[in-house]
Amino acid sequence: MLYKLMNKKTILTIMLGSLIIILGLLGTRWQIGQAVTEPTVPTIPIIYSISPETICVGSGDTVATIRGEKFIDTTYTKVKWLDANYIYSYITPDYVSLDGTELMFTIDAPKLSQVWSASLWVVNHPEINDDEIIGPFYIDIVGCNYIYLPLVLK
Amino acid sequence: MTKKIHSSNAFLFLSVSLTTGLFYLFTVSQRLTWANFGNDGGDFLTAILTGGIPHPTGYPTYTIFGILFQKIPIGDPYFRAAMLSWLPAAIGAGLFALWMKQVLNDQSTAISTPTALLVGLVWGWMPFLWSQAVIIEVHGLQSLFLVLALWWIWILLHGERRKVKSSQFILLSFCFGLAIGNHITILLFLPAILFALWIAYKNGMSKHSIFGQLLSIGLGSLVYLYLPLRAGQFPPINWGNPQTWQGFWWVISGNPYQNLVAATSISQVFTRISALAGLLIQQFGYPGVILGVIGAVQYKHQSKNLAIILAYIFFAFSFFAILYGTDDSITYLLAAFLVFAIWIGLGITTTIPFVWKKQPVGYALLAIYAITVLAAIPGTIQTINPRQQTQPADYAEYLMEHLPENAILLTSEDCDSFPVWYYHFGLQQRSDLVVIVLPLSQFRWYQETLTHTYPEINFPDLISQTSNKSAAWGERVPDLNPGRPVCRSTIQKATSNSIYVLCSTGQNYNFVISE
Repeated sequence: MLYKLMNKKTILTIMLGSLIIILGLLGTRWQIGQAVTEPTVPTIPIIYSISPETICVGSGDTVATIRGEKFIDTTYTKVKWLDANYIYSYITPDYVSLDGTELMFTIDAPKLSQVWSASLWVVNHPEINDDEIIGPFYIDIVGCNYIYLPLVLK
Repeated sequence: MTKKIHSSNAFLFLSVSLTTGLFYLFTVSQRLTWANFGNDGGDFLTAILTGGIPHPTGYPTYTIFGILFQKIPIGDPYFRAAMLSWLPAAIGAGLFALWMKQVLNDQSTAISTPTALLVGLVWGWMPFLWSQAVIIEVHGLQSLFLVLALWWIWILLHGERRKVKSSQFILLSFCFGLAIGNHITILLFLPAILFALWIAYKNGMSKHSIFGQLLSIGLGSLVYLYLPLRAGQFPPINWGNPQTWQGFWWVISGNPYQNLVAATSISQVFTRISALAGLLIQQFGYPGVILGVIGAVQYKHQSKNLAIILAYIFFAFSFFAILYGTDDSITYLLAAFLVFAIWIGLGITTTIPFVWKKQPVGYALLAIYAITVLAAIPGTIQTINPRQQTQPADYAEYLMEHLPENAILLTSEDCDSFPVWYYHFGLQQRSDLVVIVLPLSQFRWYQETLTHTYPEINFPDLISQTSNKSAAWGERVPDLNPGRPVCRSTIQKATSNSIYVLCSTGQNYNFVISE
């Protein structure tokens, strides 16, 4: 009797039914905490880390990476840079991640020509106001004068 | 004989529609609510009352029907708008029962009629559908369109045997076009419909008839013309200002929400698959789930085409809902639940003839299942009843009463904005106020809307691009209107969610919205 009932479809029915019930009993929630559907506006960015923190004076163009939050994109987010001559400039990032947590920008070689602790800020909408800004953070431009000792072979 | 069938069909339709409709009517919300994912209720209501355009994707069918329902001379504007949820949902449940009876036409009436009746009620009393039928949302109306789409598919697959009138095909395809204007996710039905049209063509349907139906879909979807036509009038709710092609596309493509499609991580996908199983149990109970699986796997269809289409609809809508990165994507499961209800019907039909030691075990199981469905009703009412959850109405009514005269109110999210829109624009209260939704002030269309809505207010120059992704434009308005007090509402998300309103006049208010 039982053997007669146990065709492929019956086995599939039992397996599927059991699977749904077991998965259902796990009690996981549909909600994953993303209830906000309205368009949101990034405001003040946040910076967690800057890499590199130190660059040798006289280096060529150097790419720096900033990790944080609320970077918009390469159009609306800029890096504000204070050089050794106390002149401010805005650097357009080369890359901003889609989730706004990573920003990469290139520091031109002329900005690295003097030993200096360069200040930088990340600013959203510099074209509108200077309110959406975080900083200063620092990148040390240091002398890297190595002494090359001759290798003496015995 | 034909007369008897018609009267039995009418009885089936009326008994399901009236029963579910009465339950809906006794539990329908009477004031604005956030219950049952009803956060957008204020936006929809305001669009209906002002002839405006609600959030993307614009929902023109819902808005137009909403405007028409406002002409019905009963109740207040809220009741009339809520009627657009519960009435179509109840009619849809009745039609679903009739459809189910048609699908089971190869069974005896003793099986098909009670099964169709029970499944119609299972669908109508399903907690999710019920929850949507008693609030201001598009899903009550959508449930009717889903049933009509299924009906169309069914007659395409089997119409030649029943000599269905061509006007029925045209009418149902036109309804599908309208449905696209109600909730665009119904487009996921399109592959199933094209497949059904192909089958119909192979079965002898003329090219003219198929072309006529495709044309009817197009005609129905012309309802989207409402958007540019109304946008030109600059209603106070004018999302995307779709007078231009760019604005129109911004609205109908759901531009601000596109990043939410496929925004679920791999681990969240697995969580949601498990949650979907839990939801099926919640909607149909353990017996329902077992019957549904039996129906999906065991039922011997007259042709396999319907089985393929049902499986496609279930999985397409389930995956879309799982991958959509918002909590309320659960609402996109409505079509998947509808298919599961059909499978329950097929499962019942498979089970009914089951006899053990000459005892009609199948009927006994059906009776037990019917009792569990009835027994679940009090629990469902307790879960979905929105009548006690009137925080948005309380919040907005309080503000209308207490905000300083001529105040500029800067709001920060949907939940502190839409209720105020309803009272301020929809019910035309406190015309002295200026309501600015800061996140929306990043958009040029919203800036244009505000300048038309409040001509007496000084605004900054409009930005040149679609969005500058900044609330700075809205933030500047108070400085340009120094004579007006400024109130700012923010959502405090601590142990309890609350809306905190602080005014430059020193008044401040705190509304707890959820514990």
